[in-house]
Amino acid sequence: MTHLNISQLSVKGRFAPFDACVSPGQLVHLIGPNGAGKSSLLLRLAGLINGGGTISLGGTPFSAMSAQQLSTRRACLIQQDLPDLLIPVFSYLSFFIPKGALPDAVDAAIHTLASRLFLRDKLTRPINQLSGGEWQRVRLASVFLQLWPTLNPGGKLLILDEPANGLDIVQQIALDRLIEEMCAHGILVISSSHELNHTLHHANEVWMIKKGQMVRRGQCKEIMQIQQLNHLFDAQFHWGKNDADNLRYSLI
Amino acid sequence: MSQIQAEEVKETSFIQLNTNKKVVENIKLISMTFILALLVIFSLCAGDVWLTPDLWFSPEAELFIWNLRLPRVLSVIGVGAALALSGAVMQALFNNSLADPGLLGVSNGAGVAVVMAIFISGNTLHLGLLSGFAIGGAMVITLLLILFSLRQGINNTRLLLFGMALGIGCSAFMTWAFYFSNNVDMRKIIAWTLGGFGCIDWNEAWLALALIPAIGWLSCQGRVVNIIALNELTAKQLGVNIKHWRILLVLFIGWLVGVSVALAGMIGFIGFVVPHLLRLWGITDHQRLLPGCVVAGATVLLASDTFARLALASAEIPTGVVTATFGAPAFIWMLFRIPGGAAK
Repeated sequence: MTHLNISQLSVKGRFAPFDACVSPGQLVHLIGPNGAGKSSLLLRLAGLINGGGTISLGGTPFSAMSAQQLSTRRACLIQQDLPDLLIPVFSYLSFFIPKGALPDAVDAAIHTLASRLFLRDKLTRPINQLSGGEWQRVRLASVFLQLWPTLNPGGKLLILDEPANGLDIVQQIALDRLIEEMCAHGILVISSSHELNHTLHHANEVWMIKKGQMVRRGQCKEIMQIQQLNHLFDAQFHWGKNDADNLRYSLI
Repeated sequence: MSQIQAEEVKETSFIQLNTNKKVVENIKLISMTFILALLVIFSLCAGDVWLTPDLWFSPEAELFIWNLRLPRVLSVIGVGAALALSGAVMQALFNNSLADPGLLGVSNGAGVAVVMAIFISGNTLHLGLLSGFAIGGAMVITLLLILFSLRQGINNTRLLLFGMALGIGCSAFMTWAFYFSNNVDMRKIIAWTLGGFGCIDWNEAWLALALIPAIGWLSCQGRVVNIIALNELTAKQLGVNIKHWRILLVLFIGWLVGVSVALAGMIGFIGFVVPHLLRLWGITDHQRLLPGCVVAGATVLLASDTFARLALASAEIPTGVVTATFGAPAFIWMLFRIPGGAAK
Protein backbone atom coordinates (compact mmCIF):
# COMPACT_ATOMS: atom_id res chain seq x y z
CA MET A 1 0.00 0.00 0.00
CA THR A 2 1.07 3.57 -0.56
CA HIS A 3 2.39 5.49 2.38
CA LEU A 4 2.99 9.15 2.83
CA ASN A 5 6.57 9.55 3.99
CA ILE A 6 7.68 12.89 5.38
CA SER A 7 11.28 13.48 6.24
CA GLN A 8 12.68 16.62 7.92
CA LEU A 9 9.93 18.74 6.42
CA SER A 10 10.18 22.42 7.33
CA VAL A 11 9.50 25.97 6.23
CA LYS A 12 12.06 28.52 7.34
CA GLY A 13 10.65 30.78 10.03
CA ARG A 14 7.28 28.97 10.07
CA PHE A 15 7.79 25.47 11.46
CA ALA A 16 10.71 23.27 12.50
CA PRO A 17 11.64 19.98 10.74
CA PHE A 18 9.66 16.86 11.58
CA ASP A 19 9.29 13.30 10.29
CA ALA A 20 6.11 11.32 9.81
CA CYS A 21 4.76 8.27 8.05
CA VAL A 22 1.04 7.78 7.48
CA SER A 23 -0.82 4.90 5.83
CA PRO A 24 -3.52 5.41 3.20
CA GLY A 25 -7.18 5.87 4.06
CA GLN A 26 -6.43 7.69 7.32
CA LEU A 27 -7.92 10.98 8.48
CA VAL A 28 -5.27 13.14 10.11
CA HIS A 29 -6.29 16.27 11.99
CA LEU A 30 -3.91 19.15 12.70
CA ILE A 31 -4.74 21.03 15.87
CA GLY A 32 -3.08 23.97 17.56
CA PRO A 33 -3.55 27.62 18.41
CA ASN A 34 -3.98 30.23 15.68
CA GLY A 35 -0.68 31.23 14.12
CA ALA A 36 1.02 27.96 15.11
CA GLY A 37 1.95 27.27 11.47
CA LYS A 38 -0.82 24.87 10.47
CA SER A 39 -1.54 26.51 7.11
CA SER A 40 2.16 26.75 6.22
CA LEU A 41 2.63 23.09 7.11
CA LEU A 42 -0.32 22.09 4.91
CA LEU A 43 0.87 24.20 1.98
CA ARG A 44 4.36 22.75 2.32
CA LEU A 45 2.88 19.26 2.50
CA ALA A 46 0.98 19.93 -0.73
CA GLY A 47 4.21 21.02 -2.42
CA LEU A 48 2.85 24.53 -2.96
CA ILE A 49 5.53 26.42 -1.02
CA ASN A 50 9.23 25.79 -0.83
CA GLY A 51 11.11 24.66 2.24
CA GLY A 52 13.40 21.98 3.61
CA GLY A 53 12.90 18.22 3.70
CA THR A 54 11.27 15.69 1.40
CA ILE A 55 7.81 14.23 0.94
CA SER A 56 7.14 10.99 -0.89
CA LEU A 57 3.86 9.43 -1.83
CA GLY A 58 3.86 5.67 -2.41
CA GLY A 59 7.65 5.65 -2.67
CA THR A 60 7.85 8.43 -5.28
CA PRO A 61 9.25 11.71 -3.96
CA PHE A 62 7.36 14.88 -4.93
CA SER A 63 10.55 16.25 -6.46
CA ALA A 64 10.56 13.38 -8.99
CA MET A 65 7.01 14.21 -10.16
CA SER A 66 6.04 16.91 -12.61
CA ALA A 67 3.54 19.52 -11.39
CA GLN A 68 1.00 17.87 -13.67
CA GLN A 69 1.55 14.39 -12.20
CA LEU A 70 1.40 15.77 -8.68
CA SER A 71 -1.94 17.41 -9.40
CA THR A 72 -3.46 14.02 -10.26
CA ARG A 73 -2.34 12.50 -6.94
CA ARG A 74 -2.97 15.20 -4.40
CA ALA A 75 -5.46 18.04 -4.09
CA CYS A 76 -5.30 20.89 -1.64
CA LEU A 77 -8.02 23.21 -0.36
CA ILE A 78 -6.36 26.56 0.30
CA GLN A 79 -7.92 29.44 2.19
CA GLN A 80 -8.98 32.07 -0.31
CA ASP A 81 -11.23 35.13 -0.20
CA LEU A 82 -14.02 35.40 -2.72
CA PRO A 83 -12.33 36.45 -5.98
CA ASP A 84 -13.83 38.86 -8.49
CA LEU A 85 -14.46 36.19 -11.12
CA LEU A 86 -17.44 36.41 -13.45
CA ILE A 87 -17.27 32.76 -14.52
CA PRO A 88 -20.20 30.58 -13.42
CA VAL A 89 -19.70 27.89 -10.78
CA PHE A 90 -19.90 25.01 -13.27
CA SER A 91 -17.08 26.53 -15.35
CA TYR A 92 -14.98 26.91 -12.21
CA LEU A 93 -15.55 23.23 -11.39
CA SER A 94 -14.69 22.21 -14.95
CA PHE A 95 -11.07 23.34 -14.41
CA PHE A 96 -10.70 20.65 -11.73
CA ILE A 97 -11.94 17.68 -13.79
CA PRO A 98 -9.15 15.07 -13.99
CA LYS A 99 -7.71 14.62 -17.48
CA GLY A 100 -9.12 11.69 -19.41
CA ALA A 101 -12.31 11.38 -17.33
CA LEU A 102 -15.33 10.15 -19.30
CA PRO A 103 -18.11 12.73 -19.86
CA ASP A 104 -20.86 10.57 -18.32
CA ALA A 105 -18.77 9.93 -15.23
CA VAL A 106 -18.00 13.67 -14.96
CA ASP A 107 -21.68 14.48 -15.23
CA ALA A 108 -22.53 11.98 -12.49
CA ALA A 109 -19.72 13.13 -10.21
CA ILE A 110 -20.62 16.82 -10.47
CA HIS A 111 -24.26 15.96 -9.93
CA THR A 112 -23.40 14.00 -6.77
CA LEU A 113 -21.07 16.64 -5.38
CA ALA A 114 -23.46 19.49 -6.14
CA SER A 115 -26.32 17.65 -4.42
CA ARG A 116 -24.35 16.65 -1.38
CA LEU A 117 -22.80 20.08 -0.88
CA PHE A 118 -26.11 21.87 -1.51
CA LEU A 119 -24.90 23.57 -4.67
CA ARG A 120 -27.42 22.30 -7.22
CA ASP A 121 -29.14 25.64 -7.70
CA LYS A 122 -25.82 27.56 -7.63
CA LEU A 123 -24.14 25.94 -10.64
CA THR A 124 -24.96 28.75 -13.06
CA ARG A 125 -24.26 31.60 -10.65
CA PRO A 126 -21.15 33.76 -11.24
CA ILE A 127 -18.45 33.19 -8.62
CA ASN A 128 -18.39 36.83 -7.50
CA GLN A 129 -22.05 36.66 -6.50
CA LEU A 130 -21.60 33.78 -4.05
CA SER A 131 -21.70 34.18 -0.29
CA GLY A 132 -18.68 33.18 1.80
CA GLY A 133 -20.20 29.82 2.76
CA GLU A 134 -21.21 29.05 -0.81
CA TRP A 135 -17.70 29.87 -2.04
CA GLN A 136 -16.26 27.52 0.59
CA ARG A 137 -18.52 24.71 -0.64
CA VAL A 138 -17.66 25.39 -4.28
CA ARG A 139 -13.96 25.08 -3.43
CA LEU A 140 -14.60 21.92 -1.44
CA ALA A 141 -16.47 20.46 -4.41
CA SER A 142 -13.55 21.40 -6.67
CA VAL A 143 -10.89 19.55 -4.65
CA PHE A 144 -13.14 16.51 -4.17
CA LEU A 145 -13.71 16.51 -7.92
CA GLN A 146 -9.96 16.60 -8.55
CA LEU A 147 -9.50 13.28 -6.69
CA TRP A 148 -12.99 11.78 -7.23
CA PRO A 149 -12.39 7.99 -7.32
CA THR A 150 -14.55 7.29 -10.41
CA LEU A 151 -12.74 10.00 -12.41
CA ASN A 152 -9.22 9.74 -11.08
CA PRO A 153 -8.08 6.32 -9.82
CA GLY A 154 -4.64 7.75 -8.97
CA GLY A 155 -5.77 10.13 -6.20
CA LYS A 156 -3.86 9.56 -2.96
CA LEU A 157 -3.64 12.64 -0.78
CA LEU A 158 -6.26 15.28 0.04
CA ILE A 159 -5.16 18.28 2.09
CA LEU A 160 -7.82 20.53 3.58
CA ASP A 161 -7.06 23.85 5.29
CA GLU A 162 -9.99 24.76 7.57
CA PRO A 163 -12.56 22.86 5.47
CA ALA A 164 -15.48 23.58 7.82
CA ASN A 165 -15.08 27.38 7.66
CA GLY A 166 -18.43 29.05 7.08
CA LEU A 167 -20.43 25.81 6.92
CA ASP A 168 -23.60 25.28 8.95
CA ILE A 169 -24.09 22.10 10.99
CA VAL A 170 -25.90 20.15 8.24
CA GLN A 171 -23.26 21.08 5.69
CA GLN A 172 -20.52 20.06 8.13
CA ILE A 173 -22.05 16.60 8.48
CA ALA A 174 -22.29 16.33 4.68
CA LEU A 175 -18.60 17.27 4.50
CA ASP A 176 -17.69 14.63 7.12
CA ARG A 177 -19.48 11.95 5.09
CA LEU A 178 -17.62 12.96 1.91
CA ILE A 179 -14.30 12.87 3.78
CA GLU A 180 -15.14 9.41 5.19
CA GLU A 181 -15.85 8.15 1.68
CA MET A 182 -12.60 9.53 0.34
CA CYS A 183 -10.79 7.70 3.18
CA ALA A 184 -12.73 4.51 2.39
CA HIS A 185 -11.33 4.74 -1.15
CA GLY A 186 -7.81 4.73 0.25
CA ILE A 187 -7.19 8.46 0.05
CA LEU A 188 -5.23 9.93 2.92
CA VAL A 189 -6.92 13.10 4.19
CA ILE A 190 -4.96 15.68 6.20
CA SER A 191 -7.05 18.51 7.56
CA SER A 192 -6.65 21.36 10.02
CA SER A 193 -9.36 21.71 12.60
CA HIS A 194 -10.47 24.13 15.28
CA GLU A 195 -13.26 22.01 16.76
CA LEU A 196 -11.65 19.68 19.31
CA ASN A 197 -14.75 17.57 19.94
CA HIS A 198 -15.12 17.05 16.22
CA THR A 199 -11.51 15.95 16.03
CA LEU A 200 -12.01 13.56 18.95
CA HIS A 201 -14.88 11.81 17.17
CA HIS A 202 -13.64 11.74 13.59
CA ALA A 203 -9.86 11.75 13.33
CA ASN A 204 -7.74 8.58 13.20
CA GLU A 205 -4.55 10.44 13.88
CA VAL A 206 -3.88 13.82 15.44
CA TRP A 207 -0.92 16.15 15.02
CA MET A 208 -0.43 18.86 17.64
CA ILE A 209 1.37 21.98 16.53
CA LYS A 210 2.50 24.81 18.76
CA LYS A 211 4.72 27.74 17.76
CA GLY A 212 6.01 25.99 14.66
CA GLN A 213 6.88 22.76 16.50
CA MET A 214 5.27 19.37 16.06
CA VAL A 215 4.56 18.86 19.76
CA ARG A 216 2.94 15.45 19.62
CA ARG A 217 1.71 13.07 16.98
CA GLY A 218 -0.17 9.78 17.25
CA GLN A 219 -3.49 7.97 17.45
CA CYS A 220 -6.43 10.18 18.31
CA LYS A 221 -7.27 8.60 21.68
CA GLU A 222 -3.68 8.84 22.92
CA ILE A 223 -3.23 12.41 21.87
CA MET A 224 -6.52 13.99 22.84
CA GLN A 225 -5.79 13.98 26.57
CA ILE A 226 -6.62 16.84 28.89
CA GLN A 227 -3.05 17.45 30.03
CA GLN A 228 -1.68 17.62 26.50
CA LEU A 229 -4.47 19.89 25.31
CA ASN A 230 -3.91 22.18 28.29
CA HIS A 231 -0.26 22.42 27.34
CA LEU A 232 -1.02 22.95 23.65
CA PHE A 233 -3.48 25.79 24.11
CA ASP A 234 -2.18 27.15 27.43
CA ALA A 235 -5.71 26.79 28.79
CA GLN A 236 -7.67 24.60 31.20
CA PHE A 237 -9.84 21.92 29.61
CA HIS A 238 -12.03 19.37 31.34
CA TRP A 239 -14.24 16.48 30.31
CA GLY A 240 -17.93 17.20 30.04
CA LYS A 241 -20.05 15.23 32.48
CA ASN A 242 -23.35 15.04 30.68
CA ASP A 243 -22.85 11.75 28.84
CA ALA A 244 -20.40 8.96 29.59
CA ASP A 245 -20.05 7.79 25.95
CA ASN A 246 -19.90 11.20 24.47
CA LEU A 247 -17.02 13.00 26.08
CA ARG A 248 -16.84 16.72 25.51
CA TYR A 249 -14.11 19.22 26.12
CA SER A 250 -14.89 22.59 27.48
CA LEU A 251 -12.93 25.44 28.96
CA ILE A 252 -13.08 26.07 32.66
CA MET B 1 -44.17 15.40 -11.29
CA SER B 2 -42.35 14.08 -14.33
CA GLN B 3 -42.02 17.61 -15.62
CA ILE B 4 -40.39 18.75 -12.41
CA GLN B 5 -37.93 15.89 -12.54
CA ALA B 6 -37.10 16.61 -16.14
CA GLU B 7 -36.41 20.22 -15.22
CA GLU B 8 -34.18 19.19 -12.37
CA VAL B 9 -32.11 16.97 -14.60
CA LYS B 10 -31.75 19.80 -17.08
CA GLU B 11 -30.82 22.19 -14.31
CA THR B 12 -27.89 20.17 -13.04
CA SER B 13 -26.59 18.34 -16.09
CA PHE B 14 -23.05 19.65 -16.22
CA ILE B 15 -22.25 18.54 -19.76
CA GLN B 16 -25.40 20.24 -21.00
CA LEU B 17 -24.54 23.49 -19.23
CA ASN B 18 -21.02 23.41 -20.60
CA THR B 19 -22.09 22.70 -24.17
CA ASN B 20 -24.77 25.39 -24.11
CA LYS B 21 -22.28 27.96 -22.86
CA LYS B 22 -19.79 27.03 -25.56
CA VAL B 23 -22.39 27.27 -28.33
CA VAL B 24 -23.72 30.63 -27.13
CA GLU B 25 -20.21 32.06 -26.82
CA ASN B 26 -19.28 30.82 -30.29
CA ILE B 27 -22.37 32.44 -31.81
CA LYS B 28 -21.38 35.72 -30.15
CA LEU B 29 -17.85 35.40 -31.55
CA ILE B 30 -19.15 34.83 -35.06
CA SER B 31 -21.56 37.75 -34.90
CA MET B 32 -18.76 40.04 -33.67
CA THR B 33 -16.56 38.96 -36.56
CA PHE B 34 -19.39 39.81 -38.93
CA ILE B 35 -19.76 43.29 -37.41
CA LEU B 36 -16.00 43.83 -37.71
CA ALA B 37 -16.14 42.91 -41.41
CA LEU B 38 -18.95 45.41 -42.01
CA LEU B 39 -17.04 48.08 -40.12
CA VAL B 40 -13.91 47.49 -42.19
CA ILE B 41 -15.91 48.06 -45.38
CA PHE B 42 -17.53 51.17 -43.94
CA SER B 43 -14.21 52.52 -42.73
CA LEU B 44 -12.65 52.06 -46.18
CA CYS B 45 -15.57 53.91 -47.77
CA ALA B 46 -15.66 56.77 -45.31
CA GLY B 47 -13.57 59.91 -45.39
CA ASP B 48 -13.40 63.34 -46.99
CA VAL B 49 -13.98 61.56 -50.27
CA TRP B 50 -16.65 58.86 -49.96
CA LEU B 51 -15.97 55.84 -52.12
CA THR B 52 -18.48 53.01 -52.36
CA PRO B 53 -17.07 49.48 -52.90
CA ASP B 54 -17.90 49.52 -56.66
CA LEU B 55 -15.48 52.44 -57.09
CA TRP B 56 -12.63 50.83 -55.14
CA PHE B 57 -10.88 49.49 -58.21
CA SER B 58 -11.06 52.71 -60.21
CA PRO B 59 -7.77 54.57 -60.70
CA GLU B 60 -8.86 57.57 -58.61
CA ALA B 61 -9.59 55.28 -55.64
CA GLU B 62 -6.13 53.80 -55.66
CA LEU B 63 -4.65 56.62 -53.60
CA PHE B 64 -7.46 56.85 -51.05
CA ILE B 65 -8.37 53.21 -50.58
CA TRP B 66 -5.17 51.27 -51.16
CA ASN B 67 -2.46 53.75 -50.18
CA LEU B 68 -4.12 55.72 -47.37
CA ARG B 69 -7.08 53.97 -45.80
CA LEU B 70 -6.13 50.28 -46.06
CA PRO B 71 -2.76 50.52 -44.24
CA ARG B 72 -4.43 52.63 -41.60
CA VAL B 73 -7.34 50.22 -41.14
CA LEU B 74 -4.98 47.26 -40.89
CA SER B 75 -2.82 48.99 -38.26
CA VAL B 76 -5.89 49.99 -36.27
CA ILE B 77 -7.16 46.40 -36.30
CA GLY B 78 -3.78 45.08 -35.20
CA VAL B 79 -3.34 47.61 -32.39
CA GLY B 80 -6.93 47.26 -31.14
CA ALA B 81 -6.63 43.47 -31.07
CA ALA B 82 -3.23 43.61 -29.36
CA LEU B 83 -4.32 46.07 -26.66
CA ALA B 84 -7.55 44.25 -25.79
CA LEU B 85 -5.81 40.88 -25.77
CA SER B 86 -2.94 42.06 -23.57
CA GLY B 87 -5.48 43.70 -21.25
CA ALA B 88 -7.39 40.42 -20.85
CA VAL B 89 -4.19 38.46 -20.20
CA MET B 90 -2.95 41.06 -17.69
CA GLN B 91 -6.25 40.89 -15.84
CA ALA B 92 -5.82 37.13 -15.53
CA LEU B 93 -2.15 37.41 -14.56
CA PHE B 94 -2.74 40.01 -11.84
CA ASN B 95 -6.06 38.50 -10.73
CA ASN B 96 -7.50 41.97 -11.09
CA SER B 97 -10.26 42.99 -13.45
CA LEU B 98 -8.97 46.57 -13.55
CA ALA B 99 -5.53 45.74 -14.92
CA ASP B 100 -4.74 47.37 -18.26
CA PRO B 101 -1.51 48.19 -20.09
CA GLY B 102 -2.30 51.92 -19.85
CA LEU B 103 -3.39 51.98 -16.21
CA LEU B 104 -0.45 49.92 -14.99
CA GLY B 105 2.08 52.12 -16.76
CA VAL B 106 3.18 49.57 -19.36
CA SER B 107 2.25 51.83 -22.29
CA ASN B 108 3.96 54.76 -20.57
CA GLY B 109 7.09 52.66 -20.15
CA ALA B 110 7.08 51.98 -23.87
CA GLY B 111 6.45 55.70 -24.46
CA VAL B 112 9.51 56.68 -22.40
CA ALA B 113 11.63 54.23 -24.35
CA VAL B 114 10.36 55.74 -27.60
CA VAL B 115 11.18 59.27 -26.42
CA MET B 116 14.66 58.13 -25.46
CA ALA B 117 15.06 56.53 -28.87
CA ILE B 118 14.02 59.79 -30.56
CA PHE B 119 16.61 61.68 -28.51
CA ILE B 120 19.40 59.25 -29.20
CA SER B 121 19.00 58.89 -32.92
CA GLY B 122 17.25 62.13 -33.92
CA ASN B 123 15.72 62.20 -37.35
CA THR B 124 17.52 59.20 -38.77
CA LEU B 125 15.36 56.94 -36.67
CA HIS B 126 14.79 53.47 -38.02
CA LEU B 127 11.29 52.17 -37.31
CA GLY B 128 12.52 48.71 -36.36
CA LEU B 129 14.88 50.18 -33.79
CA LEU B 130 12.09 52.33 -32.42
CA SER B 131 9.83 49.32 -31.98
CA GLY B 132 12.65 47.46 -30.29
CA PHE B 133 12.96 50.29 -27.77
CA ALA B 134 9.19 50.38 -27.23
CA ILE B 135 9.01 46.62 -26.65
CA GLY B 136 11.92 46.81 -24.21
CA GLY B 137 10.28 49.67 -22.29
CA ALA B 138 6.98 47.81 -22.03
CA MET B 139 8.72 44.67 -20.81
CA VAL B 140 10.76 46.50 -18.18
CA ILE B 141 7.59 47.96 -16.63
CA THR B 142 5.75 44.63 -16.75
CA LEU B 143 8.70 42.87 -15.11
CA LEU B 144 8.82 45.54 -12.38
CA LEU B 145 5.12 44.95 -11.78
CA ILE B 146 5.65 41.19 -11.55
CA LEU B 147 8.59 41.61 -9.15
CA PHE B 148 6.53 43.92 -7.00
CA SER B 149 3.58 41.52 -7.02
CA LEU B 150 5.85 38.67 -5.85
CA ARG B 151 6.66 40.48 -2.61
CA GLN B 152 4.77 39.30 0.41
CA GLY B 153 1.74 41.22 1.54
CA ILE B 154 1.16 42.91 -1.79
CA ASN B 155 -2.52 42.92 -2.61
CA ASN B 156 -4.07 43.92 -5.89
CA THR B 157 -4.90 47.44 -4.77
CA ARG B 158 -1.29 48.21 -3.89
CA LEU B 159 -0.13 46.65 -7.12
CA LEU B 160 -2.52 48.84 -9.09
CA LEU B 161 -1.30 51.93 -7.25
CA PHE B 162 2.30 50.87 -7.84
CA GLY B 163 1.58 50.56 -11.56
CA MET B 164 -0.09 53.97 -11.60
CA ALA B 165 2.92 55.48 -9.81
CA LEU B 166 5.21 53.99 -12.45
CA GLY B 167 2.93 55.42 -15.14
CA ILE B 168 2.95 58.89 -13.56
CA GLY B 169 6.75 58.74 -13.25
CA CYS B 170 7.02 57.83 -16.91
CA SER B 171 4.72 60.65 -18.04
CA ALA B 172 6.69 63.09 -15.89
CA PHE B 173 9.81 61.97 -17.71
CA MET B 174 8.10 62.60 -21.03
CA THR B 175 7.00 66.07 -19.93
CA TRP B 176 10.60 66.85 -18.97
CA ALA B 177 11.57 65.68 -22.41
CA PHE B 178 9.43 68.43 -23.99
CA TYR B 179 11.66 71.10 -22.50
CA PHE B 180 14.87 69.56 -23.73
CA SER B 181 13.75 68.88 -27.27
CA ASN B 182 13.69 70.85 -30.46
CA ASN B 183 10.51 71.61 -32.36
CA VAL B 184 10.46 68.56 -34.59
CA ASP B 185 11.13 66.11 -31.78
CA MET B 186 8.56 67.76 -29.59
CA ARG B 187 5.84 67.37 -32.17
CA LYS B 188 6.71 63.72 -32.47
CA ILE B 189 6.62 63.23 -28.71
CA ILE B 190 3.23 64.93 -28.40
CA ALA B 191 1.91 62.68 -31.16
CA TRP B 192 3.09 59.64 -29.18
CA THR B 193 1.49 60.70 -25.94
CA LEU B 194 -1.87 61.45 -27.59
CA GLY B 195 -1.95 58.26 -29.58
CA GLY B 196 -3.26 58.17 -33.12
CA PHE B 197 -2.96 56.74 -36.59
CA GLY B 198 -2.69 60.02 -38.48
CA CYS B 199 0.55 59.43 -40.34
CA ILE B 200 0.36 55.70 -40.99
CA ASP B 201 1.27 54.56 -44.48
CA TRP B 202 2.61 51.31 -45.88
CA ASN B 203 6.11 52.08 -44.53
CA GLU B 204 4.77 51.76 -41.03
CA ALA B 205 1.81 49.44 -41.46
CA TRP B 206 4.12 46.45 -42.04
CA LEU B 207 4.94 46.73 -38.36
CA ALA B 208 1.41 45.48 -37.68
CA LEU B 209 2.56 42.18 -39.19
CA ALA B 210 4.85 41.78 -36.18
CA LEU B 211 1.74 41.63 -34.03
CA ILE B 212 0.25 38.63 -35.83
CA PRO B 213 2.39 35.81 -34.34
CA ALA B 214 1.99 37.15 -30.79
CA ILE B 215 -1.76 37.68 -31.18
CA GLY B 216 -2.16 34.24 -32.75
CA TRP B 217 -0.21 32.41 -30.07
CA LEU B 218 -1.62 34.30 -27.12
CA SER B 219 -5.26 34.00 -28.16
CA CYS B 220 -4.89 30.20 -28.22
CA GLN B 221 -3.71 29.97 -24.59
CA GLY B 222 -7.19 30.25 -23.08
CA ARG B 223 -7.00 26.91 -21.30
CA VAL B 224 -3.97 27.91 -19.23
CA VAL B 225 -5.05 31.53 -18.79
CA ASN B 226 -8.34 30.23 -17.34
CA ILE B 227 -6.43 28.54 -14.54
CA ILE B 228 -3.92 31.37 -13.99
CA ALA B 229 -6.87 33.73 -13.54
CA LEU B 230 -8.08 31.74 -10.51
CA ASN B 231 -5.26 32.43 -8.09
CA GLU B 232 -1.56 31.64 -7.96
CA LEU B 233 -1.72 28.78 -5.43
CA THR B 234 -4.78 27.25 -7.07
CA ALA B 235 -3.01 27.28 -10.43
CA LYS B 236 0.03 25.64 -8.86
CA GLN B 237 -2.23 23.11 -7.17
CA LEU B 238 -3.66 22.21 -10.57
CA GLY B 239 -0.23 21.54 -12.00
CA VAL B 240 0.39 24.79 -13.92
CA ASN B 241 4.00 25.88 -13.78
CA ILE B 242 3.14 29.43 -12.82
CA LYS B 243 6.68 30.86 -12.84
CA HIS B 244 7.29 29.67 -16.37
CA TRP B 245 3.94 30.96 -17.63
CA ARG B 246 4.24 34.30 -15.89
CA ILE B 247 7.51 35.07 -17.66
CA LEU B 248 6.17 33.85 -21.00
CA LEU B 249 2.98 35.91 -20.75
CA VAL B 250 4.92 39.01 -19.67
CA LEU B 251 7.18 38.68 -22.71
CA PHE B 252 4.19 38.47 -25.02
CA ILE B 253 2.36 41.37 -23.33
CA GLY B 254 5.55 43.44 -23.67
CA TRP B 255 5.78 42.52 -27.34
CA LEU B 256 2.14 43.42 -28.07
CA VAL B 257 2.09 46.67 -26.10
CA GLY B 258 5.54 47.70 -27.34
CA VAL B 259 4.68 47.25 -31.01
CA SER B 260 1.29 48.95 -30.47
CA VAL B 261 2.94 51.99 -28.90
CA ALA B 262 5.54 52.10 -31.68
CA LEU B 263 2.72 52.09 -34.24
CA ALA B 264 0.16 54.36 -32.67
CA GLY B 265 1.47 55.88 -29.46
CA MET B 266 -0.38 55.50 -26.22
CA ILE B 267 -4.01 54.54 -26.60
CA GLY B 268 -5.77 54.01 -23.32
CA PHE B 269 -8.79 52.12 -22.03
CA ILE B 270 -9.19 49.62 -24.88
CA GLY B 271 -7.22 47.07 -22.87
CA PHE B 272 -9.54 47.08 -19.96
CA VAL B 273 -12.93 48.17 -21.29
CA VAL B 274 -13.13 45.55 -24.05
CA PRO B 275 -12.41 42.38 -22.01
CA HIS B 276 -14.69 43.62 -19.28
CA LEU B 277 -17.60 44.33 -21.61
CA LEU B 278 -17.22 40.87 -23.13
CA ARG B 279 -17.29 39.26 -19.69
CA LEU B 280 -20.41 41.20 -18.78
CA TRP B 281 -21.93 40.01 -22.07
CA GLY B 282 -21.40 36.43 -20.89
CA ILE B 283 -18.14 35.42 -22.57
CA THR B 284 -16.22 34.38 -19.46
CA ASP B 285 -14.22 31.37 -20.61
CA HIS B 286 -10.78 32.57 -21.75
CA GLN B 287 -10.76 30.00 -24.54
CA ARG B 288 -13.38 32.20 -26.21
CA LEU B 289 -12.72 35.44 -24.34
CA LEU B 290 -9.21 35.85 -25.76
CA PRO B 291 -10.21 35.43 -29.44
CA GLY B 292 -13.25 37.56 -28.60
CA CYS B 293 -10.96 40.33 -27.36
CA VAL B 294 -9.02 40.20 -30.61
CA VAL B 295 -12.18 40.76 -32.64
CA ALA B 296 -13.90 43.18 -30.28
CA GLY B 297 -10.72 45.19 -29.58
CA ALA B 298 -10.21 45.61 -33.32
CA THR B 299 -13.87 46.61 -33.75
CA VAL B 300 -13.91 49.18 -30.94
CA LEU B 301 -10.65 50.81 -31.98
CA LEU B 302 -11.66 50.85 -35.63
CA ALA B 303 -14.95 52.50 -34.69
CA SER B 304 -13.07 55.08 -32.57
CA ASP B 305 -10.57 55.74 -35.33
CA THR B 306 -13.27 56.13 -37.98
CA PHE B 307 -15.06 58.52 -35.63
CA ALA B 308 -11.80 60.41 -35.13
CA ARG B 309 -11.43 60.81 -38.90
CA LEU B 310 -15.02 61.89 -39.52
CA ALA B 311 -16.02 63.90 -36.43
CA LEU B 312 -14.46 67.21 -37.46
CA ALA B 313 -14.78 68.36 -41.04
CA SER B 314 -11.43 70.09 -41.36
CA ALA B 315 -9.20 68.31 -38.84
CA GLU B 316 -8.59 64.94 -37.31
CA ILE B 317 -8.86 64.12 -33.62
CA PRO B 318 -6.15 61.79 -32.21
CA THR B 319 -7.68 58.34 -31.75
CA GLY B 320 -6.33 58.13 -28.19
CA VAL B 321 -8.43 61.16 -27.28
CA VAL B 322 -11.56 59.46 -28.61
CA THR B 323 -10.94 56.24 -26.65
CA ALA B 324 -10.16 58.23 -23.50
CA THR B 325 -13.33 60.29 -23.89
CA PHE B 326 -15.49 57.19 -24.00
CA GLY B 327 -13.26 55.07 -21.78
CA ALA B 328 -13.09 57.29 -18.70
CA PRO B 329 -16.86 57.25 -18.00
CA ALA B 330 -16.89 53.49 -18.68
CA PHE B 331 -14.08 53.05 -16.16
CA ILE B 332 -15.96 55.01 -13.49
CA TRP B 333 -19.12 53.04 -14.22
CA MET B 334 -17.23 49.78 -13.74
CA LEU B 335 -15.73 50.93 -10.44
CA PHE B 336 -19.26 51.43 -9.18
CA ARG B 337 -20.47 48.15 -10.63
CA ILE B 338 -17.79 45.73 -9.42
CA PRO B 339 -18.54 44.65 -5.86
CA GLY B 340 -15.74 46.14 -3.80
CA GLY B 341 -14.03 47.61 -6.86
CA ALA B 342 -10.31 46.95 -7.03
CA ALA B 343 -9.99 47.13 -3.27
CA LYS B 344 -10.73 43.52 -2.48
